[in-house]
Amino acid sequence: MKILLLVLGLLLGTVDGGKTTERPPLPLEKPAGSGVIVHHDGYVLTAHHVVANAKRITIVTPGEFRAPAVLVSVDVEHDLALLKVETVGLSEAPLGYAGEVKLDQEVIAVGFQFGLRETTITRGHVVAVRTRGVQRVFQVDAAVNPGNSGGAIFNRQGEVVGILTTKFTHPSGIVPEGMAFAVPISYATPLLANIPDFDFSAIGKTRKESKKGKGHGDPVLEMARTSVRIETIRMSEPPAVQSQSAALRSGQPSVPRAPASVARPNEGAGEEAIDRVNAQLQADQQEAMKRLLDQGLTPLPGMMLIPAGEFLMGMEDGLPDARPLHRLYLSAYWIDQLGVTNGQYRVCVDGGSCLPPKVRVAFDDPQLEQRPVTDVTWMQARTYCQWAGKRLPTEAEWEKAARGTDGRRYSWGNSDEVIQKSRATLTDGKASANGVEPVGMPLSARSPYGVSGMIGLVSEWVKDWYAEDFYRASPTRDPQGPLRGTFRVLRGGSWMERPLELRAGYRGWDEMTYWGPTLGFRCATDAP
Amino acid sequence: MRRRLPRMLACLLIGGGLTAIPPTVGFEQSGRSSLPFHTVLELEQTARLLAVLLDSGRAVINDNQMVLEGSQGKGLTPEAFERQLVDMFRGRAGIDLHELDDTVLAPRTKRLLRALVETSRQVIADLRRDLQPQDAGFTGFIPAVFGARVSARFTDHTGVRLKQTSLTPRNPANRPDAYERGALEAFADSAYPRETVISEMTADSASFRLMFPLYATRHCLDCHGEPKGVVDRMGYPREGLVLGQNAGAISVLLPVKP
Repeated sequence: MKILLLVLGLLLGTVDGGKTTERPPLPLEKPAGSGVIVHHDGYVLTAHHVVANAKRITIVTPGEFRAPAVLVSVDVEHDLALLKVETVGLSEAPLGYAGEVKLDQEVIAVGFQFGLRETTITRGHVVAVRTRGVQRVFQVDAAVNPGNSGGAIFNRQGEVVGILTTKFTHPSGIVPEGMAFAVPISYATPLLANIPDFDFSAIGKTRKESKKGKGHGDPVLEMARTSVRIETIRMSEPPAVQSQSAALRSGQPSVPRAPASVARPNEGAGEEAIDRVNAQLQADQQEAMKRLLDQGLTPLPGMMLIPAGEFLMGMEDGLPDARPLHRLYLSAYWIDQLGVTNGQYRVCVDGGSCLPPKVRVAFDDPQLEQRPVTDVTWMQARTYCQWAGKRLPTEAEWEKAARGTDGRRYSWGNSDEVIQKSRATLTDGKASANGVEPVGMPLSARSPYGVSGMIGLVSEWVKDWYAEDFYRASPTRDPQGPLRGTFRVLRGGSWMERPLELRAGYRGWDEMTYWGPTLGFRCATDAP
Repeated sequence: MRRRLPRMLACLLIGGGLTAIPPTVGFEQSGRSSLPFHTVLELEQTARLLAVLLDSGRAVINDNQMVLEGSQGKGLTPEAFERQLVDMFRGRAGIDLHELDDTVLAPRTKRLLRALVETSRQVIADLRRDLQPQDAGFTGFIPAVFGARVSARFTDHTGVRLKQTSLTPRNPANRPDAYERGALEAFADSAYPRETVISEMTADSASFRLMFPLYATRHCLDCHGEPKGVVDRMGYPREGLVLGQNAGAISVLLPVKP
């Protein structure tokens, strides 16, 4: 698409009689698309893919005013971006109310097709509203070409009601000719909120004003005045996520930040480095505890405090659903030091608040009172935690508690030895019937925060719905998982799982009504 | 992935062949629609909630397969079914069907949701009534059969068409049309985001269309899982699905005019 644009742009530019030669020869900026001025202080709305991965962005108004732009905010999901150029007093386009856009209504698409200098104005109708995944668009039958992307569609009052996007696939898999998709302008609201004093109350009010006789004359001229051309110089590197992981793999020393261990993953780091991080994390934890005590708050019995801060979640070398390795910030929370035991669960059952496990053999064996409760469904796990005045941990909370901040492979570090040794103990004959094994978890298998049994005992239910693509769009603060789902996430596992499934970043999942002899849980709660 | 206890019993997907959905003549009327976008959004919400509710009913039947089998279909009372359905729907849609009046949903949405709960309950009540004492063991009442019976009855009562469909349906009545096929192919792509719908409202149609993806559960796999091609107890060759794989969709056709 980019290449096509360039070729077409150059080709047509030449035919045009060399008008494009006015451009500075180096570095070469390429026409990328269109945009619309939404605020006179230099704010321009466009499609995200127009400016994605751009090293430099330039805005060119119809009057050939040319200025560098910075990216203020983006919404990749809806393919929207807000740019700003340092200027004041531009003509701005009024915004319309997307909710009032009717099927079959006439709309006008304005843009710079093929990156040409002349504005193209085409008419069409809204022929459909389509939803696909997180995207929802107007389908418009106006003639639209490469270069229109990011440009606005206007209603008859001259109000912007949508932004043209190419990041939408028609159900048939092909985009029929003479058909385009536009993101309803309402989805730009979060972006527009970045403009100081943006007047949201003016949205959809143009009609009244123009009747009062401001007399701008031709609304189509107004549309053309507020539409801009966007040119970019693109980075040759792949997008940010990949370049980050490339840097991680090469193991270059990174910019020191606090805590220093967060800067790059400790995958492959030796024991010495792991020990250093452990010492740092324990110091952080003790400091956070001290602050709580100073505030007159008491520690929660049987729970460990995980201080607020960043950590690395996911794995680059794991299954696709654990990619990418990404940095998250979590607020402080408490998490059970051990999984909920048969004995603890019995108190809830006896009190009538919890239903007994679906299979009672282990539950009814007095010998196993101290072992993790198993054969419970996700619902039962949640009910128990609520009864205990707590909640299930989120997937991110589970992973941070299990793994610390440095992206290591297991709770204890990167060595597989602990697994081998523990398996050997199991097959020594000490193993119980159902894989829920000795509470005698080796101390060395504890997480850097002192949380025990996260890897090696049972798989634990966490709060989140499962979606294999969630990490790719995860919020970077306290993610709560997808809004909907069919399966719930399970984390951790018994020593008998394959080593891949024992990694702290491994994501299991199952039906929330399922239970089994290796399925347990632990609870968490917010820290003040 | 974590496939542990292989459990007995039947499945969700499109099967059964016990009830065919009546032909849907008369939905597509001529004349152009000029609905505003906010009304389209309302229709989408209604269609999505209906699909979630039908799938919640299927999930309750899925969870109760053992009960249904052990009791010749008598083990699940309509009351117990409704309670579980309401619980399931609350968990999946965040809406309490007992407190619909306190929600901001459109009146028609509330009416249709209530009607679908009632239809689902009736199907369970009729199942208990119609079963003969000598019918022992597997009754063939699986989620797909439940879904087909509820859909047929719901369409008769409300004019809203619900249909379970897949690219390779067992029941020929569930074959996808062109629109459904496009959406099913999108769902089948492993890169497609989970649990998200595909929908359309076109200016030249009198109904809103929505496709809601379904995923294979453990019970499904008893008939639709591995080994691929080997005949299951219903007499169909297995499809070779794996746990969590897309296994078709619920198609909703919601007329714009009630």
